[in-house]
Amino acid sequence: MTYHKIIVDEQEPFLCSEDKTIMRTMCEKNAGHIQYGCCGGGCGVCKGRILEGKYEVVSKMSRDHISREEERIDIVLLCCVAPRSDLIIGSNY
Amino acid sequence: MAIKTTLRPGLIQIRVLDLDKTLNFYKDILGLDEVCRTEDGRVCLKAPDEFDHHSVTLRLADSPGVDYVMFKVDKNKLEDLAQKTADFGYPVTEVAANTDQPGFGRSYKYKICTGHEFRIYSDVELTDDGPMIKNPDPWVKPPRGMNAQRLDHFLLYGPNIEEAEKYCKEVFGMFTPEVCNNPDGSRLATWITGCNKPHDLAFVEYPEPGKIHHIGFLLQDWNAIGNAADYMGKYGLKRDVGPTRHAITRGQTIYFWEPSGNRIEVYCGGYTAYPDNPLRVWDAEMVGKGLFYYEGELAPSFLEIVT
Repeated sequence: MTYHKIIVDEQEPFLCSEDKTIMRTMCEKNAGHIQYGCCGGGCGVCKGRILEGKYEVVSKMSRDHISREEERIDIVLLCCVAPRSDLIIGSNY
Repeated sequence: MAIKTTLRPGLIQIRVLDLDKTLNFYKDILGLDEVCRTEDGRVCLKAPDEFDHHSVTLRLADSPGVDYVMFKVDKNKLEDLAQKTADFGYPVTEVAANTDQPGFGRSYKYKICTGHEFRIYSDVELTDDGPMIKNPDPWVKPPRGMNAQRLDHFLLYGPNIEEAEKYCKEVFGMFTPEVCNNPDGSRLATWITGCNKPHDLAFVEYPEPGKIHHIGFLLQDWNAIGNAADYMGKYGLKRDVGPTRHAITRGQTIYFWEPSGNRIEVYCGGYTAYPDNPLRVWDAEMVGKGLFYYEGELAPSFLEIVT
């Protein structure tokens, strides 16, 4: 399994494997500080922006919370994306 | 009490983001059975202890939430309730039998002040897969997953819940065993029932219309709540609050999210509600203890996250 380094809001980095979402890893490792809710792409609480790096949207994000325009500029729900490279993420999108 | 006029919440149509993954949850983990599918791809489900055709319909969509809720009413009162609903100020539209929900007879649909679509119906086919009625065993097929017995209630978020409460009382013939008031006396939340359950539905005042907080399913007892918690751990379902107990309704409970982000409650117990009992009243500042009696305080996610 490939792991990537994730930095959220310039805080301490943590590792996330490609088969897990960033939010799931943040919960398991008690890493990062972004609030979360349903972890299913529905509630919109874990919204953030991928500032650098490659990622994949692995499950559907609610259109009530992520518009097509937001999706185009890498604003995502962190419970729905997995890393494909090291990532830098900002919660102040 | 005699159950009259409005019998129960009989069906909810839910929007889901991932049909296959979410359906697997409702079937294999919550314990519902798939009844049928519609031509437009919706999936109809029922709980093992329900006699009617189905009670939950899943529809693939771009955002989770509730499409509408349906109430089963006395067969002699459907027309009367439709007329009273129109007189109350909610224009009704007739939905012909078997045109939307398979097995369901004629219904009336309308939107109430909170932005939610309600439907009323009286005729629905019985399922071929219901509980036994001749020398009945407690169950027909071995219990599965969390073993949800039946659809129990739902909590809706929207504006002007005082009017919604008035509608449920005056037209549905329901009553409120329990309410929560703001310091100025206005309603923050109301629990409403048409039978001896503490609630068939509930409302919380919220500026955005048409939102749902959770869908409640009945489990048998506190042991079943523990079993449900095991399933949440095993299958990585995101838990919100519990296992715990409400002071409001006195039910025992866990809140968690299904894979599309709709909040589910598995619930058991609760007091017996009678329409002649005095109203139980909570002050808004005490609602944390009222909702989560063991913790004595609110979980912020609980009041803030809706779909």
